[in-house]
Amino acid sequence: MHILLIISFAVLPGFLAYGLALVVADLRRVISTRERRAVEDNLAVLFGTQTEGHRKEVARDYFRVQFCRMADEARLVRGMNEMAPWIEVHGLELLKDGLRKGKGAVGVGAHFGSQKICFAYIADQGVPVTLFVRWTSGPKSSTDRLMRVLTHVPLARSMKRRPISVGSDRSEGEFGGGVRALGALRANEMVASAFDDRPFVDESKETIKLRLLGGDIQILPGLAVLAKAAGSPLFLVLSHISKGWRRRVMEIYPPISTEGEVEEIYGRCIAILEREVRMYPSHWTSLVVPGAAGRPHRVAWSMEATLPSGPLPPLSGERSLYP
Amino acid sequence: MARSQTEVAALINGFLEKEHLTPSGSAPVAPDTDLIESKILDSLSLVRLVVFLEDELGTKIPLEDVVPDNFASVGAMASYLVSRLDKQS
Repeated sequence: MHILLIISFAVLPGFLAYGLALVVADLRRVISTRERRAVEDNLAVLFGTQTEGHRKEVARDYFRVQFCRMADEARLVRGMNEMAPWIEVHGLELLKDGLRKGKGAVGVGAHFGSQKICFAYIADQGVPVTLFVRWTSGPKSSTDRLMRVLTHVPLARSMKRRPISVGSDRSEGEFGGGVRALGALRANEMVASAFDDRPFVDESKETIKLRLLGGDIQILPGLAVLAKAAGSPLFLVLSHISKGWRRRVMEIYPPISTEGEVEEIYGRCIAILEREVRMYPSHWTSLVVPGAAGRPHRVAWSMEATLPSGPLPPLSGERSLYP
Repeated sequence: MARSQTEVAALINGFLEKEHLTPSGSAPVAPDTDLIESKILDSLSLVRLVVFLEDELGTKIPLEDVVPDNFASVGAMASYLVSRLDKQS
């Protein structure tokens, strides 16, 4: 079903792809009562004062955002020329200014909007981007494998760089990723990844703990460490879909100061992310983590320490392409 | 400035201790201990170490040289770096 949808999104013109995404999302919202309730419950916990009507509206938009994201990422297969008219960009000049220092740029994405679209767009503007994609599971089924190919091929085509899978990088040994990233920065390129990925169980020693929306969040220090080591400016890049579901709005924020400890650097990113999540809660992918077969949908992973559903099980390899 | 392998090894061990990659006050890491296998270094701490060594030794380390043969152990690093500094001087 997902594969058919992805193919449809990839071949349809932009407005039809979004139209199809909205129809499918509304259908999914009606059918998937568990997920819808989880979204509404989590919204109540996070932003307690919302009315029921508002929660239902945000829950509807949550599903719509997920499918519009799927549509956008599928359409990358036709190249950024097809996508560019559907993207409104703010702050590109800030990034270009930052690159004039010759030390590259570190792009900080998040599970908010679509980091893949954002960094593919930046690559299309002539800034080579190396995107670190953390696959948190091995492809177990032919569907998983096909969906990965469908994501990797268009991304690689758009970015003119093969996205680096951190999962496989780990299996190759620990020399690969960091040094390749440093090399890209020294070549005045951009290195990017999501800063709010869930750490692997064996990475727990390396994580730093911060607060987001009143809950505990564990973050890997990689991007901030890289920016400090290479002396590169660090840019937070988020996106949301405009009112009326017309286009994606991408925001490149002014460079985040890399002064101080990693916790302070990420604290600055979190302050912006939190503000955006409050403004566009339906765009925060981590609002709900769908449960594996037979398990209830869980609350946002970053809230695991404070939400009543209790801690999430350790991440051991179960995660779909579109969580 | 020429440096001996012992001096460079001490520099590396100082970094490992300062960055809490080895316990404070512990004996220096044996020259042939595999820093990756023994989980003393990971991808990111290796980046920090490379930048630290460049600053301390006043040389740019070509990243294509940052491979296990040259950087897997304190001994391998010291040998590679001294050889590189000798070539430059």
